[in-house]
Amino acid sequence: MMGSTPDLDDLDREIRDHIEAETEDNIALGMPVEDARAAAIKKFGNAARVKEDVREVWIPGWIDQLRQDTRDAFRSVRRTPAFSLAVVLTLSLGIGLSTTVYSIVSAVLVRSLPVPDADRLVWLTMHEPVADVEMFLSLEFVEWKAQAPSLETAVAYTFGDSGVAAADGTVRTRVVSVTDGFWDLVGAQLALGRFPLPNDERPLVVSHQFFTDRLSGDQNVIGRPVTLDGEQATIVGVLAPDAVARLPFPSWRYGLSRRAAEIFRPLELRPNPYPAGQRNVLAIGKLKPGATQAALQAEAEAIHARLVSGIGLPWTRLQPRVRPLHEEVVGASRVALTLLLGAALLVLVITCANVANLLLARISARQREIALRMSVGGGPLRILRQLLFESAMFASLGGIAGVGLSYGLLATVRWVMPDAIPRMSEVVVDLSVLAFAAGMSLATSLLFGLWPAVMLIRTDVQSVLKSGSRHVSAPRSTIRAGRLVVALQLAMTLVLLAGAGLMLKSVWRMTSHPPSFQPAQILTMRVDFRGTGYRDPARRQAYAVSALSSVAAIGGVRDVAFTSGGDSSALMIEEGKPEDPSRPPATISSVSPGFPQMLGMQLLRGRWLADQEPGGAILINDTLARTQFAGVDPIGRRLRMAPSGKIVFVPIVGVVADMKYSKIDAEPGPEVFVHYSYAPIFGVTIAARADGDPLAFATQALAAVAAVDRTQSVYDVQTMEQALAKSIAPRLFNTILLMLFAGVALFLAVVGLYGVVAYTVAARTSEIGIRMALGAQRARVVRMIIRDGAPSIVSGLILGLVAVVAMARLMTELLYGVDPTDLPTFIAVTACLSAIAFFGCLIPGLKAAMIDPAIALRAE
Amino acid sequence: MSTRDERIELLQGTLDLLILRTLQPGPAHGHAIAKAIERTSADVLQVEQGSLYPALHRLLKRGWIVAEDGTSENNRRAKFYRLTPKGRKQLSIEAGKWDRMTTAIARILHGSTEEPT
Repeated sequence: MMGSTPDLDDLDREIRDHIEAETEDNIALGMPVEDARAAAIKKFGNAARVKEDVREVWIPGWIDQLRQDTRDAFRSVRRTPAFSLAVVLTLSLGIGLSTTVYSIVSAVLVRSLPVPDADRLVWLTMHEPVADVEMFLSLEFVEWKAQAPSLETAVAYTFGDSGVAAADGTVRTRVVSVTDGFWDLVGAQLALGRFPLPNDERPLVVSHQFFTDRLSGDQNVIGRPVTLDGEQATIVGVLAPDAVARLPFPSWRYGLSRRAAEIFRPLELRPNPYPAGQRNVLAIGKLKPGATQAALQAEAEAIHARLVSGIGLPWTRLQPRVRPLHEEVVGASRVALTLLLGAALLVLVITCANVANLLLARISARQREIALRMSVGGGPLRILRQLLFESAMFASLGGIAGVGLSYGLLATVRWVMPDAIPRMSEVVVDLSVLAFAAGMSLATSLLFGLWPAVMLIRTDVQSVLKSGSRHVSAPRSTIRAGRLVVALQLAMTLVLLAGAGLMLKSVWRMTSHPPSFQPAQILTMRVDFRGTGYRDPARRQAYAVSALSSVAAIGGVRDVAFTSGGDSSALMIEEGKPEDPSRPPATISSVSPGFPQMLGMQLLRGRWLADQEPGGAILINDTLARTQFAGVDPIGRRLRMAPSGKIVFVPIVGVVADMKYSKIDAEPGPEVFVHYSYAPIFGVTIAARADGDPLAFATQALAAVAAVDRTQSVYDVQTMEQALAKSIAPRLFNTILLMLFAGVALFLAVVGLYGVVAYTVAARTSEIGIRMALGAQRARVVRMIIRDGAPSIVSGLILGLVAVVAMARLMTELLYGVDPTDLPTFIAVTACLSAIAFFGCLIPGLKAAMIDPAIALRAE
Repeated sequence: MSTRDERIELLQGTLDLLILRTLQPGPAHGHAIAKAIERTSADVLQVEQGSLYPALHRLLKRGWIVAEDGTSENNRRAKFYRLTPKGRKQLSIEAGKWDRMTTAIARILHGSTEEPT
């Protein structure tokens, strides 16, 4: 019969009665009344302690056991601080990195978008196969929305930058125009006011950021007028603080700088039939409950076919595309994140291997202790439990440190590269992430603690105790296992290093320029023409020319030039040739004559643009020359241009080498650079090179350009190097993370190798001592130790190279200008890893050579 | 385990045995048990009276004794402890062990035919 916990309230009464009875006894024995009670209390002892002890009796045995085991494990962890630190550090690196990547992946790829019915939202667009671009036209949007039975609703939006009049000039603002129903669809919350109503006259909704930065957080802003590109509008609502970050779309595209949406205004679309002017829009659709994406795709194709029947190219070339909104938002980061997840898992496996190796190495050190305990009757299960408790202790410490590391990493990433991946603001260390970290640490340490523990318990107690040696070598199978683990670690490290190497080379390829191009020396700034006054192309041209001359007038400026920045594109049609709509359109940059030279372009044939070009002049890039003028000399041929609506034919005067200068991770397409008098300018980037630090004269240059026309805002004042760096931020993010992983893997693998080699040296101390006593040279001892580690290194490297060649293809999409089987990279990383691994063996080898034979032999 | 822990364990075992022994004739409440132990062991055990209670609860938990409400000699409500059949059996086992041990100690102290190891 087992007793159950009694009512401990009774105990108080019982103790009181006890003392009472004792007092009465004392009085009966003739003690004075006042002393009797004190004596009874004294004799009883500490009542609080008694109650505590009684309560403890009823604590279930397993809790007591748990406490005991934890205490023992903690003692054991503290007894070998260096070993414990190595295990905890290893675990924290592996867990920290994988937790970081897991939290990013779960927020970005797994969790649904923070909008109502996120799983029913789809991205609506069309694909243009020749230029391989996606675009969506207002006519298609209106017709799909009206006719597709699978669509419950759809919204379209556009965005761009506008000037908002402020006390200190014109402030450039990111404006998003949205159709009816947008706010319902995204489920945004307001901090102040309301969403626009149909009868509002130019209503605006502003972001919370804009509200605090530009409107000083004034609670009375509702109804306040705002001048947007010279037109009056009224603020009707202020969004809640996190509303913009939660909007399910990117607010940067088409060469706009990345920035968050600040002002929202209504968008009204009037469907013009093809082939009249179409507006390019972005659109989100909401499927009816139960409707499928495939059904909508089919419906859209049918509608599109009706719209373009009898219209011809290029409209018939467009193909409707419907895909989950989530995919659109996450976009290209999916491949990169999957790669990073793979890398993190590799690091985790290496971590596990290292922990197992460290624990294996400890087997020999503890064999005697365990054998002794088993011989005095410690049951194998009791000992196994204790070993597992030690592993769990390492797991918890490593897990805690890992989560801390991951907090730090995420904070760093968010701080250094906030725009590197979409939805980064949603990445948090939440319960699921913590659960992941806890699960990972438990799994790694229990799994890899169990293996050495079982090996230890299977030890033959008698032989260990009899051998009497202070240091017992692990069984041969243990050493073999350790070597195998090291070989696998080196192989995985090689895979990570090769991946990081390829990415690094891609970034290097992107950022390496011809020597004549010095992006750090060039200051750029951008003006997009806003307002009715600038609808006239001549006015825009005049602006650009006067901006040029006012910057040139600043002392110290050596060159100044401008470009429209490839903001338009058109099919290139040669004079006297038929239109060929199957060709991709070429990007058109309207430039001032000095611009190509300033960028360090290379002239392949012909001549540069001259200051005065009465008949106009065009430079074409190599890609266009190769595709459109294969086998013929393009110089002197004339291309159709329409600088101000009127068609003219402008001669090609030169061919320049392909160059990527605005978005360096994109392959160059066909491109033309036209003297500014013969091509349209929609906006202008002014570039200037001065003596000394370009940012030092930025204020002066900005003032000079702004003075040309105060109603136009000048923005993105930066060196060209900064602009280029921004365009490769996501790639840099991947590269840096992958390099971090490779670095950690390298560190862990070398620690693992060092551990195994150092362990064999320790196990062979007496043997080495004997050899040296018999006259072996120290160099020979070093060679012997290195020969010992060599098989692991060589087999690891071979295995790694095979894996690299097999897996590199997966990276193709992430590389730029580098073949996935780039031999120099592979040779470099293999050499690097071999060298480091060699040192991992050399150090224990040198230590072995320092062994004093006398001491080594005496130690036994 | 430290020597301090061992000594406490030894004392606990002795105290448990003494309690079982005290309850052999019939149920008793806490104070009466304390008095009886003090009388029979003649102050050999210098323990505080309070330490009786954790020992009682240990025995309750093992099912060797049970607690029941009753009335004390001076007509007060009190908790009485009674030996269970299981406790009675345990007492005879423990007492047997104790006897053998004391005999062995006595033999060592007073000289014996065997060499002590």
